[in-house]
Amino acid sequence: MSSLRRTIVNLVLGALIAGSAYDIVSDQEHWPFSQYPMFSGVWRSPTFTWLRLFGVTADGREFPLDANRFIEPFDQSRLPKALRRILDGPDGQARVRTALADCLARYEDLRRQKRHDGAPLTALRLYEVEWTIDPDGANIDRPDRRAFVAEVRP
Amino acid sequence: MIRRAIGWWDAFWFTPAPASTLGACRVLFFGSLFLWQWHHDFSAWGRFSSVLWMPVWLFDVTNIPAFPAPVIAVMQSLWKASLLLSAIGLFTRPAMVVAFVLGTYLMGLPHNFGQTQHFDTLVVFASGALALSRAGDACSADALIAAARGRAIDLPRDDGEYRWPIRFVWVAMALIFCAAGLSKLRHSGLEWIFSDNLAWLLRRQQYHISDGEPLTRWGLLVARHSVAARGLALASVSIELFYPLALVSRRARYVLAPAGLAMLLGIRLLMGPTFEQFMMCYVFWIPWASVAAAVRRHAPSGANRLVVFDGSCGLCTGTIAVLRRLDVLGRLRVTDARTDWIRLAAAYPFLNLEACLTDMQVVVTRKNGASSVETGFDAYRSMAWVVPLAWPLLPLLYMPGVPAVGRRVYRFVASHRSADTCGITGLQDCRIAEREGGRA
Repeated sequence: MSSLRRTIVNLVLGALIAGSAYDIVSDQEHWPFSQYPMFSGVWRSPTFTWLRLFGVTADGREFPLDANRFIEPFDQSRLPKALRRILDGPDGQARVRTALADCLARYEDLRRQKRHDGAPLTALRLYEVEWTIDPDGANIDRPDRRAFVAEVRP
Repeated sequence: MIRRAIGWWDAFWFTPAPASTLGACRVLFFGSLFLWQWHHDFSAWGRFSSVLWMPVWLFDVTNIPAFPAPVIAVMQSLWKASLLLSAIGLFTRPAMVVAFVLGTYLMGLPHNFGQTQHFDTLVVFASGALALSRAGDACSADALIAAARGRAIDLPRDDGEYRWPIRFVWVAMALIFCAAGLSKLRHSGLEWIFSDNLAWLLRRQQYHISDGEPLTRWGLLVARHSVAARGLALASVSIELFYPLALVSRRARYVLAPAGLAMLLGIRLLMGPTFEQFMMCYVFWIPWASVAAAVRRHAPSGANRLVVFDGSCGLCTGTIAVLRRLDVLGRLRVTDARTDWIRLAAAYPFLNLEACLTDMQVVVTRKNGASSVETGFDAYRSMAWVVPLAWPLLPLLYMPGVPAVGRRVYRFVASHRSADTCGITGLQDCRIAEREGGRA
């Protein structure tokens, strides 16, 4: 192993350790470096709220898009968080409707490709839903409350 | 003090290690990543409008956008091809560089859409380390080709080049685990462990809010028992915080490495988050060369096979170099008929030097002491019984008609190699010279 190569390798090793240490100490994230904060908050409340998409069929029926196959490549963690960030930002309502239009187009693309068995949609609605956590998870399909946030139509 | 620290650093990263362990890690890591990503389509990220684009640091500072879907589709095809090439070890170095560069973009892309998830950062680090490494020196098609061409007759010697990439992945994994533990203590203190926090988390994860659904509903069972939930929380934080000990203590490694893997499996089963790619990096914790040695010691030995070849023939020498790389069970012994003839003739009087210099011979000695000689195609077929990579071919080699074709092909190649490799004076002259040398 030449000294030049060993130097290069040592620099790479140092970069890994220094980059990770910086993010850990400063409690910041510079992907792919991170302080890995997942699930680090303490959970005390028996209730929680979550943003959830609902599809509206031609007969007016609503159903939750609570499986990843409806919203791929997003998932049930990433999409609500993305929508929350948009809503909390400037011009949130208008921007979230643009995002929902993307989601509706994507849903229909996936449906036409038979990647899911969902019904054709006449509208897509975003609600903020709230649950009281049930010890048996018996109310997963029955949130305590839901608040309308936005709607888009094709 | 500084000198001692430098010595420790060098010993940790660069103590000579076998090339086969790193090669096996490369095969398994890229192979499993290729299989995992085969059906994964990143191109859909190129179809979303800019309101959903919230770039993470790397994409922000480099100003790399979400490319249009067709461009991403091409990139991911190239990436998957590079993963496959990296796994089989063909054009290994460029393939691993491409796998790292394109993989960093493609795996990083989803994190620019609202949430940074953490299941693939270790894969990026591991790909980077391998891209810079000499992981293709063993267990690779490149190594076999180099051996066949006579460029790398000997097996690679132990070298620090083969240790640092593995240690790199260890350190990256330890940093990730430790950081996760520190984050919990920083943001929640001991309440994260000694409260109903985990019980609530386990219940909440059942409400379709994760990137992957929990594979079981066992989380609800654990959550019902406060002691179990708190015990699980204590175990999780302990594994995370103490994981760096696995870097420096062999005993800690035996406990913490499996415990970390079990924790990731537990997260997948009870909570949902998909750490499968992270788990693939556990191949770097297994000392594959030692595993192979243990298999060699304990696997039934069966018949011994002594491969007798013509050491002055470039094609034969290359073939032997390839066989030595494929002989992971250590069931083949090889000897050069030219340099070892006196000893060979004494041990196996039924051997004939003329035949040994014309065709490859394999002396098969069974446990009862009986010996037989296989020649040419039949010699290769005999060796296939003890070379695991050739096992899938064994049924084919015994199919009616195949041996006849195989013997003709062997004869064609063998006759041509004679002219090529002993071309200066002709094969006959080589043999005469050898016989004279042997008598002398």
